Amino acid sequence: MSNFTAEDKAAITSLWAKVNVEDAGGETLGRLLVVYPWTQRFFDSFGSLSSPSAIMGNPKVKAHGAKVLTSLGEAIKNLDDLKGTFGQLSELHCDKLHVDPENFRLLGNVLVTVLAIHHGKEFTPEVQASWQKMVAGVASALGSRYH
Amino acid sequence: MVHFTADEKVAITSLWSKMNVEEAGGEALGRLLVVYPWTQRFFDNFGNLSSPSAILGNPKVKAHGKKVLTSFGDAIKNMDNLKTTFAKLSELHCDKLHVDPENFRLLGNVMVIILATHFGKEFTPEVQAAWQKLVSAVAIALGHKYH
Repeated sequence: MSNFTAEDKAAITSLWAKVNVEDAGGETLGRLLVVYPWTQRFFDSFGSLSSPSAIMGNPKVKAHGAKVLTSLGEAIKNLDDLKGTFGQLSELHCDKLHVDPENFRLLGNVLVTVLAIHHGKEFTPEVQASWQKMVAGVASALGSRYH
Repeated sequence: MVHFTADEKVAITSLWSKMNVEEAGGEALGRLLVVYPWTQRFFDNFGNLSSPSAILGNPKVKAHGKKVLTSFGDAIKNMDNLKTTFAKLSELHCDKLHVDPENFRLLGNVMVIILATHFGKEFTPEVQAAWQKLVSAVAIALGHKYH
């Protein structure tokens, strides 16, 4: 279980308070699909993913991205119990969706990049460290029920 | 051998031409040491690495970061021949420095974050995709002579 210090929690929650979950969700999922194109295989039913602009403008990508980040918002309220928070989602991603857990790490890195883009210098090394810890904790929690 | 399209090369070189290699180098290495603290083990003789501000202000970190990023600049001039460009450095990092190649991927990710903080929206999904491909290819080239 990842240990988040008081500073980690402050860095995470204060930045999160400024995030537009809907916009950031679409951007994060969109960038995942552009930067790591093999991830598109999980979204066959999403319609046109034929180019970066098609992906970034795709309404299903935006909607699903918002859903994923909303779930992450829940995690941020439960940083000391990520495994409990993500137990069912872990089972879902293993048993029904068959997603390789490596993809959770990739999504986490994309989210960190999106935060860096939006917050520039405010995304200091210390803030980055807290967020990197956060996304690693989430990826681990999402993989914890895999079998 | 990794193949970079003309668009990818443009995305990479145009951003690189706007970078201050000295500052970015210090920032990249500094962030690596802050965000992934176990990497500090390779820099025992660098003096004070006791806090994020100590790390980011450390002159040896800045100097070495500049050296690393200058080498990266050579890679960018030789994108079609990365394995040869990094062959000697690969041997050095294996035989003398004993650096786990996973750390090259971590440094590559840190560089992507720095570009994101500096360039904001200009760091579009397509530009990010090109850079992610470059840092992955550099990591592979640096690991290529390991045995």
